[in-house]
Amino acid sequence: MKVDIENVQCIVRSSYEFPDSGLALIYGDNSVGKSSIIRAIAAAISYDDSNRDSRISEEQKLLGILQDDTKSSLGLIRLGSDAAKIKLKGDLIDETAIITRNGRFKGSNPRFVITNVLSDVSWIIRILTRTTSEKISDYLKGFNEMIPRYDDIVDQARDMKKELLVKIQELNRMIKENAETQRKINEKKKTLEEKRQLQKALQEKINEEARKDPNREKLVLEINSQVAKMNSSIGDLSGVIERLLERKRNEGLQIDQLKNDIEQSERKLESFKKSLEEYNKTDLNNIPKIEEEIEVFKKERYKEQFLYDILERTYAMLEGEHSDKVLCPLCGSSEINSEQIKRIADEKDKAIRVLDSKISELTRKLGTLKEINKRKEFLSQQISGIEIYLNRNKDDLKQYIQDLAEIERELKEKEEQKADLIRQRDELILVISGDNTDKIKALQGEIKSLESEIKDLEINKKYSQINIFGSSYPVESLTLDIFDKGVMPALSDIESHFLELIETEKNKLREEFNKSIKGILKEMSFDLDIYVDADFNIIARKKTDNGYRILETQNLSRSEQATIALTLQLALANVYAPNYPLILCDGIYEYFDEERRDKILAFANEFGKKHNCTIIITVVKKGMDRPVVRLP
Amino acid sequence: MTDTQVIRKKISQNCIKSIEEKIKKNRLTPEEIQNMVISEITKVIKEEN
Repeated sequence: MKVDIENVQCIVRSSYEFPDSGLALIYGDNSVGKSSIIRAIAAAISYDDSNRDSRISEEQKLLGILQDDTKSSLGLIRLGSDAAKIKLKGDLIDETAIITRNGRFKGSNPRFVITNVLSDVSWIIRILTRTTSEKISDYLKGFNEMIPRYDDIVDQARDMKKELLVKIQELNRMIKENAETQRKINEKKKTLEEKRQLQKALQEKINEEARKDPNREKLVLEINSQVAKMNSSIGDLSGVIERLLERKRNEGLQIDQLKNDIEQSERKLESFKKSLEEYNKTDLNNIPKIEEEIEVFKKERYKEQFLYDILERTYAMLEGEHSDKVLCPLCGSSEINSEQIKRIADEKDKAIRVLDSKISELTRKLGTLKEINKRKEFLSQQISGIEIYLNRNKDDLKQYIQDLAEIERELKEKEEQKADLIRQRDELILVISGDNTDKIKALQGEIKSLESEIKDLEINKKYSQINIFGSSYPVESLTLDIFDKGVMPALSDIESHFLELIETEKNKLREEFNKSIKGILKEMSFDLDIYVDADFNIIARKKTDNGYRILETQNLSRSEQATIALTLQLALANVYAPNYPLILCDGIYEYFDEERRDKILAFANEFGKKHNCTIIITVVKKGMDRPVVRLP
Repeated sequence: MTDTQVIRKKISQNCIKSIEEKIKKNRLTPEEIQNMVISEITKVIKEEN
């Protein structure tokens, strides 16, 4: 694998060759740039130039690859450069990353990077602290593709339950409001039925009498048959009226819904227009001017940086062996001293910092203006979208109101027809009622007024249907029962079923992970016992004469920290990423004793060959017979 | 009267079955999950009525 690095910390431009599998060492004294190579590789595999999240991620902090302008001395990009370029090319990897100061890294951990224990200690603290057990199971979850899928379903079931709960409450309220009216209707209907029975009994009596009187029998039969025909027509009309009433109710619901929608859209439109007005107050014509200014400052900065680099190099040379042969890079004179050069270099450094702050201030300003411009465009699009939607809804509303008027006209017509028929029928009945005329007339009057009272009450019944999950259901206690005791628990069943599956998958992960940790601990004869317990805490313990002693994070020795970090990362790579092409270990090697070091190198080499990956370890001590990138 | 226990059982079993079939192959979007559940609810309630 070939690694080309430009402008990373102390590295101006260098290329390194690593084997494509097995172990590789980066060898060199302290502060010669071993960690810079590791950080560059880690940054290249975790860089995401599409990410614009301005927060500094935990991983950036851990890896020491902060991109914050104000802390440029800590950053990944070499002081004085605008971008770092890192290229990795090998059998299994082909990555090119151009990392800018405002670039960000992928949200996920740049996995399988073991940084030196000092900077990684916070990670170990996190994993060994019981209170962060959730973090560990989350971390492991990232290695299982089914868990996020199950998570989605659980989330969705919960959302649907929330939505349904609101609907059930609404339905309950509607039923209660309807119940009082319904109770009155039922009472009236009962009285009406009684009156009808009375009328029927009277008519039976009239028919009975007519059968005994041959002069009346024919007339009564004739009128009874006419009344029967009229009753059938009245029944048909009632059916038509019922259907028209239903349509009227539905139309009313649609109109309410549309009015509501229109009102909401109008409110939204108004607030969007107000925001747009605010944005319009900002002068955006400055953008090209600011861009130009930034360019000018950048050019100036480049010049200063160039001089600074030369002066720094001259200073190093003046401090080195052949200081008498050094000429002044500015005037060519041989009479120069290092103090003077240092002073001018410091001035240049200061000037660079001033320019940096100007550039960053202008960049921030430019960013804000561009953001406003973007939002303006977005708002304009939204506004025109809402306007189209609003107009369509207004047209629909007009149509619904027209339809409603038509239904009402038809309804009135049918009701008049029905009333007319009833009147004719009642008159006909009276023709043959003989002695019972008064009684029947009174009953007819009572029935008529009861029917009209019931009709009024039916109209006053507010709700007939409710929309749940996009379908309409009648407002009645049966519906409430179905959704409250049927659908709601079904959603809970779905939620708990998938929660169980998540639990199973998580435990599977834990068991695999523990098995892998155990294997590695045995292979390297580490004297620690490390495992993930049932609550997903990572526990490290040591065997003593009195049994196992659980290690507390704050009391871990460097060697223990290194053991834990190395074991956990190799175990993760072993189980979850067998095809991962790189594992990077920075600054941990020296924390192991001589005997263990050989074992680690042998194991790492075998591990790398087996999994077809390269394990890069930085070392300070000499004497290894391994592929080495040697730094001066 | 409709037995709510039957409705509950039918909806949950049908949903779990249909979701599990699909989710093995692919990650579903929240909308897809919701549509699948709603279609099972509608089907079962229609049957019961």
